[in-house]
Amino acid sequence: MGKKIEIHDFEPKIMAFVCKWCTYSGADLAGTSRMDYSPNVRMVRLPCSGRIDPQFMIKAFEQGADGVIISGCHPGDCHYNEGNYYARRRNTTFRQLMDFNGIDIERIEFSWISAAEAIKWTEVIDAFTEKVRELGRHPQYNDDIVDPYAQFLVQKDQESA
Amino acid sequence: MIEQIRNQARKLLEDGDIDVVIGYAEGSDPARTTPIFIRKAEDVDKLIYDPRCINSLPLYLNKRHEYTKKGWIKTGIIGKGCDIRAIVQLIAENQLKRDEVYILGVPCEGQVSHPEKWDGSLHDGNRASKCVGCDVMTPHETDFFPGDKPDVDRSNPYEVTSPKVANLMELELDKRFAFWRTDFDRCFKCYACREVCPHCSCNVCITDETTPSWIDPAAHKKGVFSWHLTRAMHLVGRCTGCGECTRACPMDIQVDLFNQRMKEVVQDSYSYKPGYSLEDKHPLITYQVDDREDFIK
Amino acid sequence: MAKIGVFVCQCGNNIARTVDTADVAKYSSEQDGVVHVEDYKFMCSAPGQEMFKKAIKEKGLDACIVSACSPKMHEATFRNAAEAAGLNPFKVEIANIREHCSWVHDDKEVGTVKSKDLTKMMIERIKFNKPLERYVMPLTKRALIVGGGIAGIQASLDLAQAGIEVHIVEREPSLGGNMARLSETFPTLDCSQCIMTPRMVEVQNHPLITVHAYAELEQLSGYIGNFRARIRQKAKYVIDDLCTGCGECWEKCPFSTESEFEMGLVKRPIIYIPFPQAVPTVPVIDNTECPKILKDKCGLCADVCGPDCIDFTQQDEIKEIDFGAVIVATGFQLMPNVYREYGGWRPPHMTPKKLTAKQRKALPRSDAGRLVDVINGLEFERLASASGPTGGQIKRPSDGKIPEVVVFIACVGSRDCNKGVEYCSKICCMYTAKHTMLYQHAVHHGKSYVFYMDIRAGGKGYEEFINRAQDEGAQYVRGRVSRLTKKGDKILVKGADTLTGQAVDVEADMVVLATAMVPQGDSEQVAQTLGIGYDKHGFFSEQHPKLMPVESSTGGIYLAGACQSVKDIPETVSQASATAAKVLGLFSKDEMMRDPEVAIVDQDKCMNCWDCVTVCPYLAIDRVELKDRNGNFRKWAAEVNPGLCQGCGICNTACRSKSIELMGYTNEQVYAQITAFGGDII
Repeated sequence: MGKKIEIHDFEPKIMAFVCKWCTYSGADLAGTSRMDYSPNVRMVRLPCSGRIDPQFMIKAFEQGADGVIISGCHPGDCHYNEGNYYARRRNTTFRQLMDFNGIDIERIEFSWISAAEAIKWTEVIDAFTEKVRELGRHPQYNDDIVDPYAQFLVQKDQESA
Repeated sequence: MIEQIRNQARKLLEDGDIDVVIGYAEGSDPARTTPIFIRKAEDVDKLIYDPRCINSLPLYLNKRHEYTKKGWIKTGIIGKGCDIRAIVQLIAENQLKRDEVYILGVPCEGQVSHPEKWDGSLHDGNRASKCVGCDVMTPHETDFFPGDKPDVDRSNPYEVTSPKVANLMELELDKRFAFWRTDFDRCFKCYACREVCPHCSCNVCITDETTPSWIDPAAHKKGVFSWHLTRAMHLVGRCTGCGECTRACPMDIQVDLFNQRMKEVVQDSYSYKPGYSLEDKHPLITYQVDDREDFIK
Repeated sequence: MAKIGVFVCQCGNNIARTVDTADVAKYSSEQDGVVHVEDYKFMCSAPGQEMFKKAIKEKGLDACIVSACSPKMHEATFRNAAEAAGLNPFKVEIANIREHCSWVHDDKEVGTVKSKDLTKMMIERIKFNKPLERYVMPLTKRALIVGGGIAGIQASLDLAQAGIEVHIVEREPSLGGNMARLSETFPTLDCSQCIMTPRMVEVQNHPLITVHAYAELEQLSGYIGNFRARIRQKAKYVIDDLCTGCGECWEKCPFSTESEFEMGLVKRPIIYIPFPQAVPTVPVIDNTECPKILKDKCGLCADVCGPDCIDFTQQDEIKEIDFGAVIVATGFQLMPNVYREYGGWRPPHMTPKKLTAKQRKALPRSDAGRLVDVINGLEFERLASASGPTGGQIKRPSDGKIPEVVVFIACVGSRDCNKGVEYCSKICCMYTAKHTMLYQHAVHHGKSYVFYMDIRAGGKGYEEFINRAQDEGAQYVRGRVSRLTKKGDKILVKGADTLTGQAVDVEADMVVLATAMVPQGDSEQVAQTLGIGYDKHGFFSEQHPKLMPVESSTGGIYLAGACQSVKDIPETVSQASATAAKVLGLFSKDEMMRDPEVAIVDQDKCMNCWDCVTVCPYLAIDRVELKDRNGNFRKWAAEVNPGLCQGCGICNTACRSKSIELMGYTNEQVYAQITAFGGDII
């Protein structure tokens, strides 16, 4: 209680997709326990981490989010038995895809937070907000990036193809 | 070899076992071949097979092309290894039944990547990149194969990392982003890559969904990135590496680099190679309790 | 055009201290579609709810957002209030600005901006909420109980007394289960048969209970409220209705085999009842041993049968019956194979042909070195039982001599990561103490030793019972036993006493092992037949270990007794009554109302890849053929069974063409929430 929130010049926008059984309850517990954490996060409540679609993350980045958090129940504890296993697989591949695309996957945080882990929730949020603040604004797709090395690579590619 | 194929095709058409044979015929110029749909036994002599036959034929088995399948009960198809992978994947995904297709397998030494590079023979200078390290030169699932079919152990992981993917992975992150940003500058959302993919079979594509519109139809950067990322995600564990998407792109964008990278990821993380078994389920709809989670906090 | 009402709650000072609720209300009123806003001290209070209902009725609101505490607190409250005011309850959403905002951010400016964002996200989302209707499903008010041990018996009596029709399916020829084998029960030393047989008779006589003895559940299909069970009534070769239970047949049968009930200590005839107090008292013929059935020789039983009720041509009968709920009470077994160090022991009644392949592999190659006087707890119960093979006298199996020294070894197979199971079997400390007392009562001059690791006696009267066992003469030695070897006609027990730090050797006449309590050998197959989950040991999985210990992961199937986890008799009986209460709750209305937040398939868009069918954890998605109006095949499509769907949404993510949507969390709703988030943080 009473931790003063510092407002910096650049405040990242973080979108969190959480499962309602574990992580949402964990965040609720953080609230009931009056814990402090960074205010940059906006949560979307879903029934299970298995409901989290990579489309949501792509859209979140397009809409201006600088970081995305995905969180659900620990493996073996999923209320629906298996949802978090599928979420884990989907995110393993999606992260590699984003990485290949040149998006810093440090901007996507995946964690298991149970309904009792309020402290972990606050720690994850604070650490992630700090990290994204340092990474800066998510490179918007519309930005004019003219990189001569990139152009050279594209040209070289076309010649060899 | 091609004579045996022709004879088998002739016999099947005459006996009425199959309604049509999809194969390759001479194209509009000497460096090209074209797909051909043979319905009459006397036309089978038009069938050819040589390193110019890079076109992927299973596209025509995909049910989106219903208009070409009117009245066909059983289809014969000339299948080189990579095409047969696509057919097997279609069957595994319930888009095709095994007894609806008669696979005339052909041994393949490789294909020429572009008609411009054809000089009468296949060599390292004109071999397509997908053919390097191929383990289905003798196709795996066939109904007919000319001669004896040797046993091949295909359980090993893919040996060859695509050199282009490796080059890109060596770049720093922002240079990689800049590469794609510049490349996608040329994309104008013609969706040729989608149309030519044999696994693309949704009745209503996600790009045509307007409620909500996940993928902007316009050709601005957001719409282009979200399309290619979605296409890559939808093909994770399903892309059988025919390379037609890149070949079809009118702007010469290397769209299949995403798919090649995902193929490596799926191989490394889940030891899975799509298109080899009729019963396989792709890794995103299965799980192991001890899947890797080194990135999870 | 939407007509949304936004109600911002101050929650006294809880929200108002760190959030400017008036500002949030004003901001909300500026949003598209919002026609009414309120800013009130306590929305959940009676006047608050009245205001809520009044606004719905007067302004004709078609959706409401309440920006207040967590939905876990009051979503139900406001949904019920909306329903009372005539608005569909699923058009009410809560924006959590207390637990997620006012309580965790001290700065009022920051808190207000975040609350505005959270409220706006909900406003945009609710525009895509559909007015869902709860599903009304029919219900068969008949319960199936799988397993006729004490758990099944208790549950059936509770249900029948409440007027519910019950069917019990028991695969042995009689009810009773493992409790029927016990001599006396702890901590009262009540005679086990005496407390159980009256109940067995009550079950048999009750008009609402049907017992299918010597039958197995072969298949269970359907879903909660509407199950269909296929029960295989195994051929008894005896006509139930005619048999009087006179006993002529089993007394005259000239052949015999190992008795399963007596744990192989004695033989039983081929036409048999498992024990004298069996219910029903109808014998069955063991068709794996009967010479008449196998080779058409003998048939003596039919000759001596007075009512002429033996029929060697009888076949298995299949019965298909509808049920609304299933209680699983299949019980346990004691670990069937134990360490070679303990004499290569196996329960003698489990001849290799009756073991599963896995158990057979674990057996020692031959019985040559087997120590016959090393027995397990249930065998000891049979020796101690007055109706057992030795008439209640403790006589050792090898030569019938009365043992002067008996060693009891605790934790055999339990708490053992290397060769057994890692859990504690809970009941062994108690029954070992009981065994020492039974032995002491039968053999006054006998000496008993108990080698233990820890004593677990947590129930009512349990610790006192352990002390009593020691008072009556049992010598407790804290240490493990490394080896049992033959020494003359005795067994040399090599153990240790860790409290004195010395090795302890005992020459025992008989050794009783407290083996681990494990699930039945075929519990995996049973779980798969029922469609319920099971853990790595084979125990059936409860829905939540703390708060839902009697529900399985499948709706309508409840778990009672040792099949779910190790437990003693009072806990089993409690759990059985609990499952009966759950079933009564389910059957309390004539129809079932199911939560409508289930998945729905747009069958025209579906391209039958069956990814959703594969990922659904509840097997709730079927493959259906769609036909046109002339009955011709049109296409395949997926279809969700709303009775089984639990609303997880994994199918929604797996579907590439987004043909399957989870109501309440549709793509449109989530998309709206994501795109609404665009404001600044501060």
